[in-house]
Amino acid sequence: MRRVAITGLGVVSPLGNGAQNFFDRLVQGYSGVARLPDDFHPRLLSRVVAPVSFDGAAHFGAVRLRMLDRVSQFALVAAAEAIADAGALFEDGDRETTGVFVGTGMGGAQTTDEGYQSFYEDRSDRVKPYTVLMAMNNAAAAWIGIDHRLLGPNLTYSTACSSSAVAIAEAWKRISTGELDVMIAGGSEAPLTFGTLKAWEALRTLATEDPDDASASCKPFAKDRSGLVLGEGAAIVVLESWDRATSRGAHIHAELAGYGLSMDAEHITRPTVAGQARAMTAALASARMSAGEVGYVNAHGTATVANDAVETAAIKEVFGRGATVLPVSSTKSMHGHLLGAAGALELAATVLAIERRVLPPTLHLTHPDPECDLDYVAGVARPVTNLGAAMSNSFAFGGTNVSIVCRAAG
Amino acid sequence: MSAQQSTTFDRLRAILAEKFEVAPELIDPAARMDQLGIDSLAVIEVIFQIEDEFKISIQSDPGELQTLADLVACVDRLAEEQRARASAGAARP
Repeated sequence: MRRVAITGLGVVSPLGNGAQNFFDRLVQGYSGVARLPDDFHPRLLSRVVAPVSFDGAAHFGAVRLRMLDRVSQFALVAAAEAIADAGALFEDGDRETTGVFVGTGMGGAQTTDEGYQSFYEDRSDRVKPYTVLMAMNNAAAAWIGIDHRLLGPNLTYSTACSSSAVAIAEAWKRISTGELDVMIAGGSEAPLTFGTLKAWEALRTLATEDPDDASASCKPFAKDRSGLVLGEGAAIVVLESWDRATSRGAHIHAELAGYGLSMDAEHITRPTVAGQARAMTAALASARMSAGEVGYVNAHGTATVANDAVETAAIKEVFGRGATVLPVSSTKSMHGHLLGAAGALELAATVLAIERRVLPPTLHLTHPDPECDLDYVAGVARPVTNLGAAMSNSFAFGGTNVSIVCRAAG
Repeated sequence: MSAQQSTTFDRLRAILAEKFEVAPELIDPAARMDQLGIDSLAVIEVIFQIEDEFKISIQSDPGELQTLADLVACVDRLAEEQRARASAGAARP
């Protein structure tokens, strides 16, 4: 098995764009959660979301823009940043064998929503000719491949909220087994449309707006947590074989050391302690790492009643007595739940926590839940002197659980 | 080219330059859409823009609208038909 280096990071997020900027905001404890404007579909009852401030026209010409759903725009901007961050990535070739694996849960939701509105509500027979190409789930991955002329395998993974974690894990495997040397992997999601939000509202899993401060509505692990806040954005990483990265003198953010994948196989929404624990245990085994080496867990931490208690129990099962002193945080309190892009965004946070030796906090955890009794880095970021390894958890409706572990590059 | 066609052509040229990023120097009546970088799907987008701009409905097969001159002729014909219908309506007692 070959070692895998993370040499590029790209982020489009509710906390701002650019991976380093995103992490700065996390450490500052900034919330990207906000109330929707009153004129946005008044029929929508759940009105707190984590939107991205993004002007497509600043990145794409008018012709491109008409062919790109918001989800592909995010993915392309994040991929361009990640590839630039990796520095001279393709100077020695390899575009022919570089693969692109992207995760997304809802694909081109905005295009689908606008298309149906125009067709059903406005009774228009004018359907945009690019509708299919914009809405299809593999558009984001395809455009990354086209824009950067990457001829290797181009795949899209859709396992709801763990989609991009699966994409990155599978990309790791391609390099680890020696099949490929470079992979562009991550996820993108743009679900903040009336139709999609209304569907999530019906699931009764969205957070109630905090009456005093809408930006504090996502409260992972708190007794008064009321649900998740939907967010949008993208995160892309560049993975390279360790030897390739070191021989070209690339900056290595961290080592992607391994991953574990499990299936709950019990209920379509309700998570299981056993399923989540199996993913974490498998990740440690894959990385040949003991539980004691992990110094931080970026939790799935959705702020739903079900997830946070189950994840807490699963962490205790895997880390045993060490769980009481293991820092665990949910950055979703700041950037919301990016669904198919969540795993990639939170992996970027995990990697930068290792590299910059500071743990991003869990915000809005002022009322502890007795069932959630770990060290959640509540309120403020925590500098650490040494962080050798960290884990990022991504769990999903459907039951596909993924845990990814990273080691410090040093 | 009549005065009206010239106006139609100018308006089409503005649409192509602004919305489809076609270099203005490439835009002449004989130019084929594919030579302007507008593929068969983008032609549909062009037609939507024209329908909005001229307040007309184009039913022609997009495949018949190969050059800018074809588009100008089509737009002028539809605009003329619309005017004729409007004046016929106004003439009714």
